[in-house]
Amino acid sequence: MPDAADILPGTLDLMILAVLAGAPEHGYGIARAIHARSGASLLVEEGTLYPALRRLEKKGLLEGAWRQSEANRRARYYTLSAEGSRRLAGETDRWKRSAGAVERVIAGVAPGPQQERV
Amino acid sequence: MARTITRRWLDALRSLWSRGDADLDGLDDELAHHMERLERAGLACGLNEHEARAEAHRRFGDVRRARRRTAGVIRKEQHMLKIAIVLGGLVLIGSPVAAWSLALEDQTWQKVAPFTGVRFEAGAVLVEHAGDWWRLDAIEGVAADELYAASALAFGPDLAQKRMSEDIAEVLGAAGVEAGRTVSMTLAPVAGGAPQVFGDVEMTRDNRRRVWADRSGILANDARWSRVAPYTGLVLEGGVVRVEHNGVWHELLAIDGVETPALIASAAAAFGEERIEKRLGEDIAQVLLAAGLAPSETVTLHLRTPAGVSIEVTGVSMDAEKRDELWRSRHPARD
Repeated sequence: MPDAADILPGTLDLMILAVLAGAPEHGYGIARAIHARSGASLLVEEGTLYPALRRLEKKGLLEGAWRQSEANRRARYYTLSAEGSRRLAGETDRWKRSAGAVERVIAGVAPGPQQERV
Repeated sequence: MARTITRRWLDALRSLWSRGDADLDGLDDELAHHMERLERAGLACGLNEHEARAEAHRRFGDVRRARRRTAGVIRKEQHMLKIAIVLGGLVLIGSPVAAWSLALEDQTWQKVAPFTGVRFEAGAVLVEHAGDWWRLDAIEGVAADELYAASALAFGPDLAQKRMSEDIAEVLGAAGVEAGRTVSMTLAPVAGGAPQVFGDVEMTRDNRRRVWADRSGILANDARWSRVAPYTGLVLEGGVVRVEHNGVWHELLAIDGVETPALIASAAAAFGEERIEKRLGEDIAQVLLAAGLAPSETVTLHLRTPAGVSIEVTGVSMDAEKRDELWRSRHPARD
């Protein structure tokens, strides 16, 4: 297994939104999903999820509700709101463009025809 | 009638305070659920109880810090609701002056800082405290890079430096920490040496004013930077900005990622609503600084060509000749 990497600043919110696009989940489940989907390559200090979850909820991107968990214990589940879905689409697009640009810089690939050097 | 309104207002306040306690109790349950699941996972992997608990804490991080930060987010939301209800109530019962005073107090509270200057150099955040410059390691236990990331996330990467410098209380809030009248700062000597913790540093309006003046002074005192432009012509018509670049007129979409509406807003905020076109043209360097960008010798122009194609032009020089040409085009009689 490769060494786990710290997550890039600002990407935790995007990953939370992406995980919740599948189904409602509680904090522990979100942490497990990030771990699994990243192939255990990302190191998320799981306690940092909770301020982010409440902040996203406050922005109206998530909705939180108490339910019984699969372990039969009361847990707070988070669901992606319609606004959250829109934000996810926009942020995913922005992330892909940024990541692609950085990738091209690292790889030393010349800019595409739409770019002009001055 | 007035008595009924007053009672409803008091009920709303009481309910909000009770809900606050319930939300924090719920947070404890939520964190406990997570820790329990981690411990059970550890046990299932063959760890003993002690090892499973230690592994759970390693993966979760500092539980008290997570609680404090999350509680900060919850409290901040409730604080805003309480202010809204209290203000509404004061207006309803005929105390608009008291409401205005309270609103002013709440608004001005955000415009404070624990340091008197901020610089961003070589990936480090330097702050001025007690007359000396230090490398900022953390405020209220939140690392400087975390604060920067929270600022970028909450206000956008283009405004991250400006907000972190001038609105640190809001940035702390975005990072989940409710700043009090004082904060603790962990600072390291710029020349090197062990970090020191300064507890109970006062967040004052005067400090914040000095930060603002310091940031504004960087540009105001640097004529080389202040009298330059990345284009040779600019017109603003109906909210659309068109600029001349290499002899061709394009629609300006953004400069260094700051979109045109934000540039217009920054120009208005820095110089007033009048003569925005002049400021975007002749004083674009100051407008960019007001938008939170650091001075730079080149910028990236995001343009829409006459054919309607969106392009990014990187490495466009900010130079005095272009600004002079722009100035002459705007003042033909004086040429």
